[in-house]
Amino acid sequence: MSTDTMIGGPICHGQVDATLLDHEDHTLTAAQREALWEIFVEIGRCWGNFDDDSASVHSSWSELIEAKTQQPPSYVGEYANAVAVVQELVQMYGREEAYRQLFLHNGIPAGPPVTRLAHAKRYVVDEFIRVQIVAGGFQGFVTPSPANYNGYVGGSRYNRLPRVVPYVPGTDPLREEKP
Amino acid sequence: MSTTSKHYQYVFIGSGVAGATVARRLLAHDPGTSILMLDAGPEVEAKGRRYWWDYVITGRKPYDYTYDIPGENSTKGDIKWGYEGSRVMAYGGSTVHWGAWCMRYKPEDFRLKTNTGEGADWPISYDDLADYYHQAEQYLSVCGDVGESWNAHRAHQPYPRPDFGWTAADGVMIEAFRKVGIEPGKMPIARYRKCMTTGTCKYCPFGSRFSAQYILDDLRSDPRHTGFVQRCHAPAVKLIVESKQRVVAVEYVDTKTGETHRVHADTFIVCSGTYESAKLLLRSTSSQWIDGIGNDHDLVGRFVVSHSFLRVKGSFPRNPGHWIQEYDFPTLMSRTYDAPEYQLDGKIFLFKNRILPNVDIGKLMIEGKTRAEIQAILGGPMELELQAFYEEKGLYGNRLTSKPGTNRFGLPLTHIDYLRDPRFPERATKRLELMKAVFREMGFEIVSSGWDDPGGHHATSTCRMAENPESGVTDSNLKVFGTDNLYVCSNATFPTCTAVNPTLTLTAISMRLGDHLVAQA
Repeated sequence: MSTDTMIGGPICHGQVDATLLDHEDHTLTAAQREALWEIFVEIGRCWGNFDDDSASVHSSWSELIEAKTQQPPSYVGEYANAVAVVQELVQMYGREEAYRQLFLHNGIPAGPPVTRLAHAKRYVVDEFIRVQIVAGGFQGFVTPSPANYNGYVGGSRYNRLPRVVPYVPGTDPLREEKP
Repeated sequence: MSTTSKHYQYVFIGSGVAGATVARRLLAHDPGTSILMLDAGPEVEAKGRRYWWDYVITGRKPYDYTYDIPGENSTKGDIKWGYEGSRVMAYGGSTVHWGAWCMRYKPEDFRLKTNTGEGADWPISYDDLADYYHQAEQYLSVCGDVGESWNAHRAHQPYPRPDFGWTAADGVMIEAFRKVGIEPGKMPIARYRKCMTTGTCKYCPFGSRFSAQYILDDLRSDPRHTGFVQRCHAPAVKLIVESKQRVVAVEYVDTKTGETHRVHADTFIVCSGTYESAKLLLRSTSSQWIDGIGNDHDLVGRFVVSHSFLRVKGSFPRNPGHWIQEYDFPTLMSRTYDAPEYQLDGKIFLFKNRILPNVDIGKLMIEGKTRAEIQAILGGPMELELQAFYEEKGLYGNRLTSKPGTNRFGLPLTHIDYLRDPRFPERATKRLELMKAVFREMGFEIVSSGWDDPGGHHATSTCRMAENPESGVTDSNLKVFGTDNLYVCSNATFPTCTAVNPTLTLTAISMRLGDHLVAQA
């Protein structure tokens, strides 16, 4: 990871405990949900691994948010924090650069997350990345792409579509590659 | 201490697949059967969506806290027994976390001593279990291929579900297998029709992989089962006898309240796994059983054995197919060396590592790798690994006992004395050479090879079945020698550990015990 100076301003650099952040409200506002969805969409834009601006996985993402905010331990505090952090970054750097720096050059030191920026990265960005990948993002990097991935709900194995890249005798791509 | 006035027909100690299967059989015969089933551990929610998301994101499972804690148990000898992560101490037992690989033992496995002069024979044969294996495969919903040569003796009993086919990432190893004389096969896996191939089998959100939890949930919720009671947080302390032949009660502790209870029953079934079944018998001492129930010949706890784990890993400079491991179980395996001619030197069951090849794309993104960097890694160097379970033979001097102290579920801590057979290194090395030949044929560079110490995952034999009490602890019907009404139904009763996973066989003998008890009733 980059050793650049940590990005952001006073909100991002605010010192907090490493444990999950608490919040006086127990639910997210509609505006906060919209802002969180934007973070998720920007992951797909940054890595270019979703064609439809992640629209096809909005329902999976919504289910995640529901589970994370309605069941313990609650993530409402983390989500509210992430919204505030991103807001500051956008104000400082502009939208595109803010996300680029947050995802790729944030300067967060290794170790437990003890700043608001580190919390946003660890508990929101990193977790959204994992969800984005298992929701289908794993298929958006290379061709041929994997058909399945641990965490991806591939559908009943009795559907006609194969759920994995199947073995076909005589089509070993390594044959020409063997030293 | 409180003594309940309720008298049960059956008390089960343990709530894993064995206990659940026997109880189900009894209740199917007579729904009003009175059964008390105790488990030392808690109940962990199954199919919880939040738990599943947390598992997908962090890798943590909701039952991780029920594992043995590193360092609390001990080993003495020339290996370090693998305790951690090998058993779930909770409602449903270890099928809460198992991989669901379901192979039948083979006919020769029941005659190890006769065939090799080493190990032990079972007092039953493969033929005694054949129909129960068939029933167990239906019950667990095993997906497999009977066309493989090692299935010739059971080809008339097809699997209930078609096999999971090989994946493209298996291809190079399949072709190498054939060239070195190994027959490739498809791993028989217990998966229901509703499998969505999420690859999160260790905590399936849909209940597609068999867990004894689902059986117990059905038993509890059936309104006809008015006599079925299941209690968690209830470790058994001791079995109480009124005479040498007759067990009359079990004492257990309610770890939530600290109270000790004594419960009476007609029949007692200890289905607590290889560790706890033996330890319970050992601590159930009395004037009639000085060294523990069933232990007049000092055999309880002895012969403890499990698979050693062989592995060879190889690398290739490119991955042009961008293969990653798409399931959470291996699809490629072979039982070519799980055959009679290999019994003396140690059978092995071969399977391709379920985790490789792998690229953790999410981790790369979290680390800040760009799209181009990730694309290069996906097509770059890859590793494959071939693994094997090696059949060890139980030795008299290897034994399991309790050590002072209890764990957080109230179970006594475990100690194992274990010395490996001195011929193991030479024999295992020969097997590793067979495995390395596969990688040479594949054109892969071998990066590592070796073996791991045995551990609790497939431990057996601490209350082994035998023809007579001088040779074992339980008879061919799993009844403890010298008693009229005490049974052990767990891997502890297996005289051998063979080269494959034990759970299908455990399920089969549980069904057989259920029929035996119904016939007696």
